[in-house]
Amino acid sequence: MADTLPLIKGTLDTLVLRALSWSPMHGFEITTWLETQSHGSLGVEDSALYQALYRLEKRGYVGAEWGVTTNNRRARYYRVTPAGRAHLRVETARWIEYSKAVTGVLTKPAHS
Amino acid sequence: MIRPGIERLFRLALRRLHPARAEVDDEVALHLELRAEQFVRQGWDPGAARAEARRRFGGRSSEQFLHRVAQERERRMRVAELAEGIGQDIRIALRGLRREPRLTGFIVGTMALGIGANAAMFGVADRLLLRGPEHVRDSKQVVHFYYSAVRKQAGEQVWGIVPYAAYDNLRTAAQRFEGVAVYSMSSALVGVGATTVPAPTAFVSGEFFPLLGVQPALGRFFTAAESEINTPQHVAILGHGYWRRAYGGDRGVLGNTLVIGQEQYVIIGVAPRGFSGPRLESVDLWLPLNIRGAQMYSTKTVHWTRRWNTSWLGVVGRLKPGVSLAEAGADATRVHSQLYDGTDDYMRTARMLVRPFPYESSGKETPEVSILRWLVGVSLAVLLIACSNVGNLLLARTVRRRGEIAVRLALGAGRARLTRLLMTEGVVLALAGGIAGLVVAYAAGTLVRGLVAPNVEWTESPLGATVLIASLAIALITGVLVGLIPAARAGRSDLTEALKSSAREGMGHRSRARGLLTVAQAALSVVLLVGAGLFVRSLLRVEALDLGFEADRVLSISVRWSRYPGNATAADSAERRRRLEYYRQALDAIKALPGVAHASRMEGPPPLEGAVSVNLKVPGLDSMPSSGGGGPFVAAVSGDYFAAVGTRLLRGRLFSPEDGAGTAPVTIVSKSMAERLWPGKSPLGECLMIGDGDSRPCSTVVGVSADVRRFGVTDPPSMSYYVPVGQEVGFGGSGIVVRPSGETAPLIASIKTLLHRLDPTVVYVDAGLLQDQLDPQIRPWKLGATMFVLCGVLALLVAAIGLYSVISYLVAQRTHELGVRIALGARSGDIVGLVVRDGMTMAAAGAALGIGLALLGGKWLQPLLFETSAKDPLVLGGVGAGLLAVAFVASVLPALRAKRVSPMAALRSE
Repeated sequence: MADTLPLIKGTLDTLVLRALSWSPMHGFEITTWLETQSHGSLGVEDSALYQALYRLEKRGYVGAEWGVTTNNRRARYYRVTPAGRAHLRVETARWIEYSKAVTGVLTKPAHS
Repeated sequence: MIRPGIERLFRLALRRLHPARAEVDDEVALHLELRAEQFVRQGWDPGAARAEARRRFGGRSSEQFLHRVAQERERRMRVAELAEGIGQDIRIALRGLRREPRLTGFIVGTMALGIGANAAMFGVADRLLLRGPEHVRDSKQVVHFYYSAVRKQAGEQVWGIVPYAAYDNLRTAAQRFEGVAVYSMSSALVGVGATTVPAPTAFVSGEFFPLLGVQPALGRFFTAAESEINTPQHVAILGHGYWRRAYGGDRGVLGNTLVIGQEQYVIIGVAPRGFSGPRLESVDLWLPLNIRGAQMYSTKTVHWTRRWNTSWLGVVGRLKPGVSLAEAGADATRVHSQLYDGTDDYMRTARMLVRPFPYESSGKETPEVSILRWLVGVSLAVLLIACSNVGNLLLARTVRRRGEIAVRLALGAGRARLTRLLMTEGVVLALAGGIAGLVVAYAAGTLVRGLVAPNVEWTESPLGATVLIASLAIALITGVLVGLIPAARAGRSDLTEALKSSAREGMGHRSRARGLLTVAQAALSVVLLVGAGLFVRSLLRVEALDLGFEADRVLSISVRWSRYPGNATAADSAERRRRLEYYRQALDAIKALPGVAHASRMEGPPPLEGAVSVNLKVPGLDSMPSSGGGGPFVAAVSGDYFAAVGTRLLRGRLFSPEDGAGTAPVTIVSKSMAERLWPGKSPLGECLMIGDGDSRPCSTVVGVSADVRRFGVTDPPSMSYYVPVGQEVGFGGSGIVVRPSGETAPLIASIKTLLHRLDPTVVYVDAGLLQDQLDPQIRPWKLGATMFVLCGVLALLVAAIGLYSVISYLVAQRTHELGVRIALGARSGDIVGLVVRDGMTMAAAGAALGIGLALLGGKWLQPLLFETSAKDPLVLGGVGAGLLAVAFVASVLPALRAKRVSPMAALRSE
């Protein structure tokens, strides 16, 4: 997968929260969701995703519970907590501002 | 997308099977599986798919990270879960307790009594028994010196008030001590004119404060120069309490002057708060000892520091490290035998002892302190009774809740969890009791402080940190204890049996635990009540005691001037004569006052205020026989004395107004003195040679008076004799005794005014009932009686309620059985008898056990009793009977309810 973009540090947490804001999912579901949504252009290392999930759980942004998949397999399901939702809103706004600023700088014609 | 209906699994059970590591492994395994399946769906070979999935997940180190985070999470969850569980337990406990408010109220009340009483007692005991005197460094090493000598017929005598010479010898020659210091408790007159008041004062030697290791709260203590024996300096240190009262705690007080005994003193320091030296009395002023010695005991012949015939000091010392009390005593005895330079054989052969610091000058613990030890025991007994009663009630409740408990067990609540729940209940109750108990602690603390040690300057409030911590600790311990009782029982209960038979129990099925607790309560109550009975009997005996005079009807009056005249100069002699004349006039003036029935002058102190003895020879007797009460003691009185103090004349005549200086010497002897000196003979007309020398005249015995207890209620009557005022030889100390015909308070006021008017140089008039001297002596028995009765009655009440609840419970349990009995024709009398017999059996067992315990403990209580045997059959029998009577009432009430059981209803309730 040489053609995927490396993820900027810190954005993975926001993306995971975004994924979970739809519905509770287990780890692999989140991976596939991210791949689908970005049409495979975002390179998320599998173990990094779990590290992000555990980190978010520790901070209280997601909660986890054991459940079973439709195929009757035991899986750990994650859901966003209210604190997680608030965090997602803040981070999203920040990201948009940041990317606008960066885009602005980069696309401004040099010495016009 | 997979949208599973998430099925909740029972988190608790699963988590036990899968601790944190396993959970992580499961989660990762699922991920790898799903990823591999994804690759297979994309056309990968299964083996390669698994390898690729593994590769994409990353190395083992990423799993290790997940493990660490998961374990951390699990630890946090455990703590949170425990807290939540306990919170839940508390909510369940509170809900259960609210359901039965009367039971809860009773339990909390009982606990409050037990916990409060103990916390209060701990506060007092901590200060008086455990912690040692306040501000004294390493108080275990500080000792008090005593003399001990054996007197024929009177046995061993121990005394701790000694002459300066004894201290002087110890200071120079004793080797086992780091230092020796002396003190003398007295009362000094502070102020000028009408505002003069007596203040408790301690005269101390220079080493006193450094030896005890006390630091001043303000200023400094005495310097070596100020304590130098021959250069008295007028400097004073204020007691902390006095500083606060008289100066409002003003820190600028240093350097001010204060008039003490009409002389100016410079204030140089303030003693720390609560410091009272070796005694449990407050001290207002600390003055250098040398001032007192020079004032009081200077004579022409022997310097006051070398006199052996004036005992006025307590001696304290600090032991060198590792020296035992016995070694220290032997060292002091050696010093005394080598250096004694007096003339008394009795003193020469006396031994010296050292005892721990807070003991009294008689070498014995004060009765108040001994009683305090008992009170600690008593309050513990009350707590035990309260605990067993509460345990009993909770047990009954547990049995009522057998159904609920069985259901909880069946639903998978662990035994441990159930025990925790019951203990939580106990602790919640005990904490509530502990909080309510603070009120009890405050009241009891104030009461006990006032009764046990009214003169102690307390530095902590009755609800100080010590008492609060003690309350909390006692509450927690009792909470766990009372929780354990039903928990032990519930842990044993058989599930299926309980579920089946929550309504009815088999007839023989009685709780042995409850029975035992009831018996224990009854026994402890009996012990307390026996103690109460013994103290009350002692108190009655003390109060009924014939002292030989009527302490509550006699005013003792004496006058203080600013200076004690010595006998060195002509001016001194003139002053002495003037004072005698003053007393003559004062007596006449007092007799003329309204409200005075009788009045008499006195030389030598009245009973209870001391006693003097002088040399005495009886023709025909080689030596003076001695009696247990000491003596013979002498006093010079006028004819009205006997009527004034209420001492009866048994034979012969009283002194007439003509008896006095210059007339034929006469004397009146007490009954026991007459019997010892002239056994079997009439003493009238016999002769006493009073005073020193062979030329002393014969005082003819003209009367015999009733015996008098000179010092106190516990002493046997002493030998006493009286001479007319004017015929006293070699003793003095003037005073007046007055018997009021009406109210005493207004009479005291008018006498004081009168005596000040007669001589404006009079500084202070002491006037009070002899009873005032007696009250502190009676206080130990009053204290014991009050506290034991209070605790005993409380205990009995609690035990009675306990018994009542047990019997009611038994009746309720046996409703079915009783119904059957009634249906089969049992008469109501049989039913009542059946139930009452249960109660009486428990009560009788308790009474027997209690009386046995009381008999065992009696030998320790005996020394505190007065003319009452600790095995007093009346008290033991009375208490036993009383308990049975109370038990009868407590069991008859539920029994009467049992009688009314309707057989049909009982059988239907099946």
